[in-house]
Amino acid sequence: MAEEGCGPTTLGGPGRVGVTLLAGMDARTKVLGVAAGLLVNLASPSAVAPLLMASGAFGALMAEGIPPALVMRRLLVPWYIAAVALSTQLFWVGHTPLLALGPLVAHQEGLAQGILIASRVVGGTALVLTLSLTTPLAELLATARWFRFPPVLVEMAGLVYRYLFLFSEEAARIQEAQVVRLGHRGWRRRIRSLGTLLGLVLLRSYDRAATVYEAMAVRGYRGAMPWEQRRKFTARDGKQALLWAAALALTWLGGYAGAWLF
Amino acid sequence: MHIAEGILPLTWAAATTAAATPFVLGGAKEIKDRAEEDPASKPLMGLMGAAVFVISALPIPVPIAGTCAHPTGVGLAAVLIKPLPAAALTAVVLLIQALLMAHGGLTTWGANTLHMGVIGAFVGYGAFHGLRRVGLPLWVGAAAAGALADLATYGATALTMALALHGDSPVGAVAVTIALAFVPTQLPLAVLEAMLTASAIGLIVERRPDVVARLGVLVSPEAKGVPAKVWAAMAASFLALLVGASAFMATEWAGVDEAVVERFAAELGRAPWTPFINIQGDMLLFMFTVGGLLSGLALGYLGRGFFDHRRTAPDAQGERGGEAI
Repeated sequence: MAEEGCGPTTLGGPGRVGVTLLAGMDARTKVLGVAAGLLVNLASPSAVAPLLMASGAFGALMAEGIPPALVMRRLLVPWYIAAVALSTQLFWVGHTPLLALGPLVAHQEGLAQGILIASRVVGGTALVLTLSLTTPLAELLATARWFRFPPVLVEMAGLVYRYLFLFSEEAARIQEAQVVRLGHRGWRRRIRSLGTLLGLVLLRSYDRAATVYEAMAVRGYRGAMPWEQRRKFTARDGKQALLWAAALALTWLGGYAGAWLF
Repeated sequence: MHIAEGILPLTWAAATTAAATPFVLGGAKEIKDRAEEDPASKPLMGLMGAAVFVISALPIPVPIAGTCAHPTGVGLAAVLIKPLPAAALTAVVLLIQALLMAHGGLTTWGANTLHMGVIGAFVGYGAFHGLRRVGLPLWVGAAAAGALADLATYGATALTMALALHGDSPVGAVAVTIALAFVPTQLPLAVLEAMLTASAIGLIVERRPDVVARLGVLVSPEAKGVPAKVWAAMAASFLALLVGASAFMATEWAGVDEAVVERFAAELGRAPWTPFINIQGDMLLFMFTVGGLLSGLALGYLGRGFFDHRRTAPDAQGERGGEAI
């Protein structure tokens, strides 16, 4: 996480901001588009819509100049989960035998259901990446405020994200010191050291909180961070929103066409 | 632990989000109220959330598996900042993890928040203060908070996934299958999380009593005797749970041995005979489980010797070097 998640521009890592179609798009359009896309993804009766969505998302990310290796790394765990879901649904769902492995019987209905769920995982995660790899955190927080999310939660998200990397570094520094002093030799000592590390990180977080609060108060902090949406919604943004809606409608229809065909 | 994006059907995604939202909003209100009383608490909460994020990303050695896994950290958070703020912060952390690392998802955010932020936090907090009230030492309560929050989180995850995805199979059997799939990593991890939570809280209480007082970690530091009726109620609840679970499992599924192995063996003319040592009930299963756990621990620990060749002369040098330092 630390080596690639510290991207100064976007939430998901070293993405592009403000130069290409997705990166230049209004964050409100993207958030609404992704939310609607996730609903279409889950509501689709066939794997066609999620797979269309995944290919569209990959294409868009490639066009944005996001390194394919980064996208693949992000998707490794979800794809593993998709494979597990596919294999379990084979045996849990349905009655029509497809394949018998000793006492375990795979079913045709299970295969269809497994493929559907796996495709939803692939489509959904790809769609979320189009948001996180092309949108700066400040824009996302401002959008959350615009959608009337509780201010305190928006502020917590900003604070958690801001201190995340600071804490990773702090924890890494303490751990490195422990390793140098052979605090990680043998698993028993390692566990004891990790307990100490945990306590120290928390105590330092407390001390830093006091320091940070004083620094914020000096800079004019009076209990709320200014996460406000300042960008106006232009005609260009409207056209992009319409384009996104049309693509989603086609994808949704594709899902039903897939169910009818297969 | 996190349920990935797209795994849960739409109705389950909506239902779990609706169930988690009141707790998240309640936590947000508590954070806001605390901030009005003490403005410095807001950055503190943010920093605590970041700490929870970092803690939940720390690699922990798992002797049985010979690999690393990750704690949830939610038991520790609930003890330190109370369960509702912990639930709200967990919700925020899960949202960032879904976007930053593709761990979890946006449509499964409600389910993950419900399991880890709500159930995990309340179980951890309840275990800590319940055991403190009984008069047990601080480290016992902290260890129980860490372990039970972890196990409750994974138990709830297994149950939700079974309810949502069981298809034509019995819910109980699928839930047990998913829970068993978690066992190889989560059982040792729960033990490790117990040790880490106890160690961390012990360190904080020992070194910084002012922090403990300000956060209100030990709201009832004086141990109180537990009335007999409370003990009776706890025992009755435990018994009811045990009997209910046994009855449920007996009616829902008979186990692989009876349902599959014995049936096929009988069809092939190999009916079971009376064992030479006839142990009644589940004693054999219990002994098998304990034996498997101990063997796994031994194999996981000693198995390193086959692959790790540094454990000879360099270790001895390292030990001397450590003394010199």
